[in-house]
Amino acid sequence: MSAPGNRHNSQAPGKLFQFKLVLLGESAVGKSSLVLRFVKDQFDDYRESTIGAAFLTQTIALDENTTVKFEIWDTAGQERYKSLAPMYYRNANCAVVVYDITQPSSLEKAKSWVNELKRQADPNIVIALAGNKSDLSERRVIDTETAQNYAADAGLLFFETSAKKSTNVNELFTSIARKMPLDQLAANSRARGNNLNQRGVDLNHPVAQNACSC
Amino acid sequence: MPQLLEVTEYDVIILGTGFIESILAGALARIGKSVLHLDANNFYGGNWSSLNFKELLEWTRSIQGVDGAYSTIEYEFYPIHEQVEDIPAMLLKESKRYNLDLAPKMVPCRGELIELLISSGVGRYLEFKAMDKTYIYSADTFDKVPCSKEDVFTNQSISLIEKRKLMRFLTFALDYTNSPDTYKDYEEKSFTTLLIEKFKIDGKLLLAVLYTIALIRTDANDVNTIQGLEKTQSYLKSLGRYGNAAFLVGLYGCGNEIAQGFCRVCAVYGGIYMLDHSVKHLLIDENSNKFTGLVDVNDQQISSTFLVSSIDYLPPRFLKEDEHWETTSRAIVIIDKFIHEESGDASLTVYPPETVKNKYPVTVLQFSAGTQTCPEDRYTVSDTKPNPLFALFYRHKKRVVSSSEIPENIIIASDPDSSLDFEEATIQARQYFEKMCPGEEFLPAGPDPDDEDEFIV
Amino acid sequence: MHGRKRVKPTAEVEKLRKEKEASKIKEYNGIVAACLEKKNKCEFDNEAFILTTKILSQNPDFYTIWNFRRSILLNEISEDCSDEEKQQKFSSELLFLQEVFRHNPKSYWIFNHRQWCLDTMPNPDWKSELDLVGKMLDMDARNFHGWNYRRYVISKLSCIDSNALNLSKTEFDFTTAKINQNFSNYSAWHQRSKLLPKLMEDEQLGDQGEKTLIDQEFELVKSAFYTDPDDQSAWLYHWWLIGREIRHISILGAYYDSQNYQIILAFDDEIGMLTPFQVAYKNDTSQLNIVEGHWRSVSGGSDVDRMHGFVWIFTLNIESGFNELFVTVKPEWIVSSNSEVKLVRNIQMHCQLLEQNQDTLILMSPQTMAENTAILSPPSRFREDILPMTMQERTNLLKREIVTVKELQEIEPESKWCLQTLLILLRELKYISELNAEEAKNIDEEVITICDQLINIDKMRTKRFEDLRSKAIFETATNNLIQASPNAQQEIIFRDNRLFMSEKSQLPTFTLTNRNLTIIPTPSILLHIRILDLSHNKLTSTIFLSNLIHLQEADIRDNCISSINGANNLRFLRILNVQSNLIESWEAVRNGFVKWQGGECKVYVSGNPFINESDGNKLKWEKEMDKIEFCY
Repeated sequence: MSAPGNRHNSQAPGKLFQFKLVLLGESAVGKSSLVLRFVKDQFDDYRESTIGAAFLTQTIALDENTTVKFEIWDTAGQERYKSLAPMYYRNANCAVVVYDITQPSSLEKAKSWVNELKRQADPNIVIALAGNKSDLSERRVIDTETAQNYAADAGLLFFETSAKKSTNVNELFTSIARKMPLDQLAANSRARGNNLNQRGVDLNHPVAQNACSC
Repeated sequence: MPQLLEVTEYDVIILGTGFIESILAGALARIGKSVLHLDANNFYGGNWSSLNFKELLEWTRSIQGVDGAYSTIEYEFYPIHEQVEDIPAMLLKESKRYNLDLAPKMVPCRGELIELLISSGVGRYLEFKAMDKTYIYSADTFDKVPCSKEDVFTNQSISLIEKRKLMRFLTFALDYTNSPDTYKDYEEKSFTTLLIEKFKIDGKLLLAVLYTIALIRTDANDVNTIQGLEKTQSYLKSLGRYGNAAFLVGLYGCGNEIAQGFCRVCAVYGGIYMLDHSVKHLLIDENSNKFTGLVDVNDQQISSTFLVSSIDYLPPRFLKEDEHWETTSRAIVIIDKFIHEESGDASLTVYPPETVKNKYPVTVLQFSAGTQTCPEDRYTVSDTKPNPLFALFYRHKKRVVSSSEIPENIIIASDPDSSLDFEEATIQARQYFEKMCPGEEFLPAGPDPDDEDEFIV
Repeated sequence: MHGRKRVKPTAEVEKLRKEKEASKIKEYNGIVAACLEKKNKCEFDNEAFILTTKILSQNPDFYTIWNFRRSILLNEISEDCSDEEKQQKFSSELLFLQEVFRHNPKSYWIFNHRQWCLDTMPNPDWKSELDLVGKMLDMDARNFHGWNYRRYVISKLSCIDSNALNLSKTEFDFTTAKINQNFSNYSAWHQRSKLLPKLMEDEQLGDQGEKTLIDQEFELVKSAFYTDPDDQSAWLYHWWLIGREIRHISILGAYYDSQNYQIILAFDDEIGMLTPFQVAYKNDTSQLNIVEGHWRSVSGGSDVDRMHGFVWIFTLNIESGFNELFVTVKPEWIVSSNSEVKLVRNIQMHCQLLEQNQDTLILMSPQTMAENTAILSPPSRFREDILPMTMQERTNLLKREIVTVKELQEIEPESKWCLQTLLILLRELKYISELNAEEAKNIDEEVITICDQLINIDKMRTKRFEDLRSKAIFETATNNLIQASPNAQQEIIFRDNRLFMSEKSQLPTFTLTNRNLTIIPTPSILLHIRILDLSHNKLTSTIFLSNLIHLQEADIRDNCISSINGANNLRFLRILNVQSNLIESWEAVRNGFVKWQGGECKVYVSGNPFINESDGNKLKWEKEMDKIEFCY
């Protein structure tokens, strides 16, 4: 009898899709907080930046047979001095561009990130615009309509979120999952290089064609 | 408006985002050192970088006349191509789809680097493809070289008897230390003698073993039996782990991507990154001959305990005489079709010595769109040319510093060497780390993103 | 996670982990209990279905749960349920199986259940199943569940797809691809052997095209075993390509002993009799009339043994003299000793009359032999299953393969597969070709040399190669017997230390000593032998003696015999020497003579372990068997 210790997400029946999601936006708009809320359902007022994890993963069940697993990449601060590595965008299937509704410049920054994505990333990338810190409504400087109109014009999903109050966070990620062209993607594909012909070598999974190497 | 640093004191400042510097950046930040990582270029990778076509032309201009790691730089467009009138314009139009390695290398499937990529988790950021085809040139033809058991089996250019001889040798070499009787009479002799006399391997097959399996980069007569067996064994050990290939090549270019991966580890552990940020001068205390800090392009003074630096950032007085430098002649050629049919996404071709009036073997790495280094219907070749659209020739020097003059707390990261892999460079990075932080673990794995219990948040 | 170091867990984390683990096990056991309870109560509801999903995701080898799951599914679709709904239900079941398979690619039950689903659902999509099994085999090309399943899918596809012509070709190419990736794949080669005959049938390649295809197969497999001579799968495919021709059973002699009203019939194989052979005489009008009587074999004492043997005796019911008798044997009346030999056609033979007072039984005259051979000669066509060829073509093929394998053997003298393949090739060559005595002898000698090597190399199968070698040695030795004309007696070679010396040195004699013989493969060839010397060999049994019905003296000293068998019926036996063997008890000697039918006989027994035994029964038994004189 096999040990009943498998991870729960790997037992989900049906199709599993895995996507790389990148976060972009000015420093301190709450990119990491959004992820932390989504992945761990936690919030910490005094967190400074993401520490430790290369990326975080979270799984959403869209329906009985469809599960979407996000591989969520944070900028790790590399965006601060415009030094984000090209590797960061590579094969990103979706992006969340975050601004802070209390910071006037942050929407402009977000727009420039959207342009950057459209220039650098896969043309089919699904982008969501998130106006974070909606809990601080008394300090709001960017009104919903302005951002919403921009998002509509640019073809982006749009949500105002609060990582602190957990407002619209799950909705944000779920609607991204729903917007992914799932039927065009092979079942159980890895997000990165999900075209079968282009799939590369997975270092952690040797292809043991031979019992010995010679 | 110049971006000034909020923090001006660090444990380590690292200059250059080349391969060795980046591994060190990741390793140092991983154990909690504060790291500032700067690069004067607006791209990652330094002398190990991969450039798109436009960047390559810019780079060519930027190093022209500069006394650095490169010399004898020339490039040419070949306007003979019938369909396209303006080749430069065409190549520039698809510029972004090129990722051209300045120092093309491969990753052995078993070795220092691959183990580091796996153990550190950096491998998860990267994508690789198997380089599973090798060709050898002789008398105007290319033969596919049987390297693995599967190759030997399917190869149609060698006879049954040769298949057996080759397999006998390969089987022995994989585990040669266990049959010392087979080679003990040849230890003092050349590797070639062992192959001819003991294994009756000769002709084309002999050249194939010497230059494509043992991957000898010099004249084979200078390689003794033990050296040859070591090389063969390390090649053979690489086979079979990721299918039928001894090497992997990185997608989007190799050295640069790996460097970025380690930089990401550094950033995730708090390292600060600034590209396009040059250094005015280093501050070295004359009395103690110790590095104390530097002044950057914004005249900001930044200090640190250690400096890790690529040779590019060092004052010329630290360098040794030119004649001690190992020089590799390289070429990047863009061609319009495969050199070999069925050569797949990436292939290796070797011209043994004396086949094209060459003293040493010439090695050609060919990449196609599958490796994300060039657009479809374009193939980049590092080192030779059939029906070229563009060719760039240059000499790549591995500069040597005079260690006696250099302050103890400056760690110098070497230029890329002439080898086909990153093994020496990886070893160097680890040795530097051990020297700087004795007793600390070198790039332990980060938390597993799939394992809920192990986040350090 | 391969090769990844984990962050060292603190004691607390470790404790939490253990608790979690324990609670998971507890939870699993709870689910199993709940599910089994539902099963016992025959509650085929959705809740039960969910329970099976949970259990099988974790433990797909729990076949009871699969059975239960099938019952639930059947229960659901039996209620009025449209085809569309059924299709939907099974489609999601297939998805579930795919997911379970990802974690357990080698569970038989997953394939079993999948097969059931596809067979049960309204519109199974076999094409996509084929794609799926292709992917499975990409992941593990040697998963034999996968290959079996592929054969099943192909068989389904070929039923519905009229374009099956292409199917055998694409399947054949699929095995080529898998073999090229890694030829150490028994399943892929096996699949190929199934496909090749089909491909020959489907693709109309013409004679030359077919020959080319077969030659390519030989090249492919040779390339494999030249690359790795230790890989069994390639050799086995090579053996299959070579094929084994069925060796035809022949009758060595048919005699009519008019004095004793008996027919003696000798086969060169130990056959079993299913239906009694017909014996008949010709009446005045040359019509055959059946003669009544009964058959028994000469070997053994029990009734079972009597219906099994090399040499058969027919005793007529009526003691009346016939001038000549005929015996008829049909293939369906006998079973051969193994699948490699068989009787291929009806045989009707005239029994050679043994004249009165003629005390020498002789084998068939060379003339009769030749006639017999003509009846029983091998077929003119070989390998009808893949590519029919003439005897000459087959001979050429075998010789070509022998050369190739010998070249390899020169480089790899220790390769047991190489040597074994040579044995097969040589044996085939010997059986099918019209070889002269010299060529046959050369093949036998080569076989003996190879067996000697294999005995040293392949310690696990020493016994088998000793037997094979014995067979070759024996065949060489007896070849001369058959070739010799009936009147030319074999020279008798006596050694100095021989204990007895026959007075009648003119009697048919057979001597084969000091050759490490472990078996006497075809004792019926020695039917006529009166004096036998098999001393200094490694024989373990004397059971073969029963076939030598005219034996007078037998020297089986210095062998490995542990008991005496097969001597009871030897009426003419006067001397039996079993000195220096491994007989451990008086009983093992005595049992050999319990039903002794002959006259006075000396049995030499010294040098056996039992001699030292102080056995009280010895005198008693000696007395009982008054005709047997034990000599020491």
